Amino acid sequence: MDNLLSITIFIPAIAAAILGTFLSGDDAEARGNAKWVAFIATSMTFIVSLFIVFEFDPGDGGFQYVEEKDWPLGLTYKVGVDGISLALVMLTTFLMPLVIAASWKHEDRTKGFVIALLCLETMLLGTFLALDLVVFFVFAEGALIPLMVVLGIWGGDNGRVSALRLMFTALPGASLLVVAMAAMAFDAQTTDIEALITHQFNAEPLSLLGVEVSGGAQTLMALAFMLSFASKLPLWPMHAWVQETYARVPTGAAMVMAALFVKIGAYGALRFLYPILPEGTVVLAPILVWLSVITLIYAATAALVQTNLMRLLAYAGVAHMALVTLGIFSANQQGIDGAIFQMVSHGVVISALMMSVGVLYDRANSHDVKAFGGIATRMPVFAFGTMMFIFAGLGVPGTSGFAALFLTIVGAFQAYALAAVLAMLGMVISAAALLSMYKRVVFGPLIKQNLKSISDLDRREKAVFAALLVMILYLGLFPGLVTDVTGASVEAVLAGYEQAEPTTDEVQ
Amino acid sequence: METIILFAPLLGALLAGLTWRVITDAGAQWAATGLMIFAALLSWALWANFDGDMRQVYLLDWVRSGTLDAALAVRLDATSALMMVIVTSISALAHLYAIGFMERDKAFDEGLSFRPRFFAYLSLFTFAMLLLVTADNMLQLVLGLNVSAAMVYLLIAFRHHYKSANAAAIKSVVIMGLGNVGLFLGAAGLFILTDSLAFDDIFETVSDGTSAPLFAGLSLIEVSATLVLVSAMAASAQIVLHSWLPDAMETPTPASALIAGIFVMSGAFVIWRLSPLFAIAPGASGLTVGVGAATALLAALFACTQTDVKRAMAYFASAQMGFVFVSLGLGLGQDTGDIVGMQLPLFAVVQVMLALCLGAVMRAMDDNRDLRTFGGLRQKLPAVALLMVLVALVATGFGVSQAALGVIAPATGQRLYSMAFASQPVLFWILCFAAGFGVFAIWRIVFLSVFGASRARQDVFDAVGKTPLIMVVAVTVMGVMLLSFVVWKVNAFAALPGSSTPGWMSVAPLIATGLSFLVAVWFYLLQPGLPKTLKASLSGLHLALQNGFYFDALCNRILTAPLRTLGEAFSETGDGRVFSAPFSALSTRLVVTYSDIIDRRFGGVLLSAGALVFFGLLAVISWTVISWDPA
Repeated sequence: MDNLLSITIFIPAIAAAILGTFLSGDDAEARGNAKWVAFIATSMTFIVSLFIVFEFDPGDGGFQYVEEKDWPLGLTYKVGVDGISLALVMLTTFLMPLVIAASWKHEDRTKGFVIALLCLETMLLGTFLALDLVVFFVFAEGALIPLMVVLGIWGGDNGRVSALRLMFTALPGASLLVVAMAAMAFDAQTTDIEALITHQFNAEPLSLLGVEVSGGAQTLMALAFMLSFASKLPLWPMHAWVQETYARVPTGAAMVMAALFVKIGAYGALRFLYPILPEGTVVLAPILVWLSVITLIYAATAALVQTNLMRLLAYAGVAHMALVTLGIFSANQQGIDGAIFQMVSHGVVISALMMSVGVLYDRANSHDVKAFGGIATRMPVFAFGTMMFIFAGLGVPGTSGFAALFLTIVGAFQAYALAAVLAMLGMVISAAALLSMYKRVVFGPLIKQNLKSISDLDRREKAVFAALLVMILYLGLFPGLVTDVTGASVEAVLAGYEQAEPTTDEVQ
Repeated sequence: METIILFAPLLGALLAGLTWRVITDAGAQWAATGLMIFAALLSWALWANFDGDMRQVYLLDWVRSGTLDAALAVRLDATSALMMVIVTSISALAHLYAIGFMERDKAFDEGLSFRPRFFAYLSLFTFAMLLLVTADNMLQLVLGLNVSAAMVYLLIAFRHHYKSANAAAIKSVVIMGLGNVGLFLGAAGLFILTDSLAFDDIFETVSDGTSAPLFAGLSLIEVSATLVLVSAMAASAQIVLHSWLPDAMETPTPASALIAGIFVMSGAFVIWRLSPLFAIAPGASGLTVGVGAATALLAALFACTQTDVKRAMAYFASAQMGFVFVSLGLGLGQDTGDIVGMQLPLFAVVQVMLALCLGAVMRAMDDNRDLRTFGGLRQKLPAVALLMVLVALVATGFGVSQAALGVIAPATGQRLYSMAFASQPVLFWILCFAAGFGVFAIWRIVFLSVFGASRARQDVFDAVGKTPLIMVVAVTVMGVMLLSFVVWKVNAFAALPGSSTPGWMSVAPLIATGLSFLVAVWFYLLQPGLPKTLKASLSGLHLALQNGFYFDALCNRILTAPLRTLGEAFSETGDGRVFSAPFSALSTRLVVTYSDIIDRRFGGVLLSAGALVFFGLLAVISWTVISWDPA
């Protein structure tokens, strides 16, 4: 099949269109149908995406399965996959059926909700596979629309405020992104990413308002890209929307946001900064490394005092995402391999943890730590699964988090030793935060009356837990699954950067 | 065979933890215990037949990234063969003991199945320790140490209904996390140095490369070794990172025995394993000696003043481990025939046996842990009392110059003390005092618990029943192991040529320990009122020692509390106001202004419209830029 990628991208959107057109009514049957259609569509997407893997050549660092079609207005639709995008595509298609399954108890305007999730999946897959600036922009910024709709409609009393806030946070970055992309297209006379990689952008130092900017136009463009990506990642100080948003939206939407949406920023950094703007990246990398460290410690410390489970996870998620940027901007093979691994691992782990919180919410209708305590006795399976998820988040060996953490830290230590030390300390704080949450929710005596009859996971929840747990352990034992696929592409991404890098007197 | 030894405990853990509903409570316990005994027997066989040639048994390709390539493999050499024997046999006996000990546990209601979980943790912990001792590269060291630390967390949190157990569990995670900083970065440093994580490559590079690259003005070898030392300090509960161990005693005794005896050994093992690295890192080695000596002295002092018997035992473990660190730092761990090769097995057996004996005592005393309420139990538990005396006797000779009380061979101790004197005379004197206080601490525990008159409530004392036979058997087997080990080592070391040291140097430690023993006899057997008088006259010092020089309170004051304040500030002021203010003020105003006009149901429509406007705006900007001609 020569349009396998497009099929993967648009299956969810087509399912959404079918649901929107043909499914009417809001009775139990209609809600059930909506969920089943969504589940089948996302599962099909996963199965189709497996075919990409089967035929993928991991030794080739370039793009494969490239499709190119002319769109009206002189635009081009171009998609393709390399090792880095493949990792994220597989993560997306693997998680989405589980997200739908985790949202099974969502009974408020279910049809609209699953349509939003399906649209979101298309947007995410499009973002990860796009090989054209315009296509990337449409998908990446378009992913905000379903998110804002979800926030506005299902986000509770202040949902609309949060939705607008999300938009305002994204707006400055997105506007600058457009400007930078336009400048890029203007200079290279193309919007094709493959062509842009070979194009040399001007890196002569230039003077802006009396300030000497080394790396010149490249630095400015890289800065514009990063501003947009930083608000998604999120990097400090553009992170404040996260905990607000996660705490409001339904569990399924929070899972997608924390596990997949935030990856757009990190993916964009790898796709655009390194190969296209290497000189600009050299200038910005140290700043971004230190911002990552600040983000990690800031978010982990804030997580320590949260009493709302979703907010706590949001902060922990931000902290663990900061490892990704730390690895990426360490600019060496281990750092970037670790970062990509962490993207995959973080995706699985944070959605698993949110699923755990969702399970509790379905039973006690609360996100408050104080509403729980001592449920280990009543919910042993839940307690076991959640413990494993937390271990994975903290990077205990045998789980997926370990290879990610280890490689990231080895990478960071080679480039910025102090940053690596501080990042590890941040991880210790996040460990304390997550384990104290676990302690207060799961451990302790079972005192609260309403929890004495709380039930353990049902079959559906067990299935989702099992799928996530198997993935976590599988990646933990066979990390080569990801690093072998990404290795060649990371080398390719780094090749341009290493030429641009000035000879430094750092380690070695 | 080594693969079977490695995975038998894992199988036991899985059987106990996952299938106990099928194979029943007792089935789970015996499955885990049986497999552990099986692994122990196999490792004895392996050790006995070991020909001395190092070999690697490949298990699995693991982490690969660029030039970093670390497989999982069992490294079988004299060191790991010995450690496998220690870990599996002690763990097997602790399992056996636990079958008796866990018949009841006050923390859990009758009828709850808490035992399979406990046995699964124990077996999994052993599996993790085996991964550590058979490690073939740095990554496996990280693996073993981290997984066993995770299991220690779960074991400490086992009685999770208790607040103190939960707090102790998190504390252990935090301190192990701090150690992990060192371990991860030490591994990273060695990777930079040698472009490999395998021990073979690392040892080869460090042995011929005298000029290590500089790192922030320091030799990378020194930096890496020091970082590894930090993790060893955390795992081995050495001063500064020691405070988790006394708290960790919240767990049931079989587990606290394994933690104090086996897990604490892991830090020293890491340094032992990397001794070729430490051999060319004088700075890191010196630091190892300093840390070890400080711990040996201070922790022994703390141990002398604890009223909680398990805390006393924990501090005693830290102190004894301090001696091992001193030996390692002085370079006495270069091969298995050397001092460390004898100290570690001895340490493990002594600590575990002591813990298991005390477990029997506490069980008899209705799970009380207060030494002040024990006493006189030798009439009720003669076997336990006898075994305790045996442990104390062996421990008295441990790390001591001459054959103190005739138990431990002279050659080893003598070398340690003469090396100490050669490097720093003050170190020699610190070790003498540390040995003295250590000996006092252990005899204090023994005398207060099983000798003298009973201080327990009469009804409790009368109700003391028989210790379950299986527990006594387990500890007795351990005692036999200990004795045969001592006899074997005495012979081995007697064959070594003695070094020529001045006479007073070999006598001084003997006097210190002998004197301490006599003081303990005087304090706790002859004049039991004396310690109380002394305590009253030195109440300030006593209180300070009892609280470990207020180390925990200090950490709380300067670390935990400020961190929480900072966290509040970050989330309330930072994210609540500063970083979200510009956005939320605008959004709130927009929504408030238009909410009268727009019914809430159409919120989605509003948002879609907002999004349209947003993208329209972007389109306009981009159009402007694209059509803009700078010429």
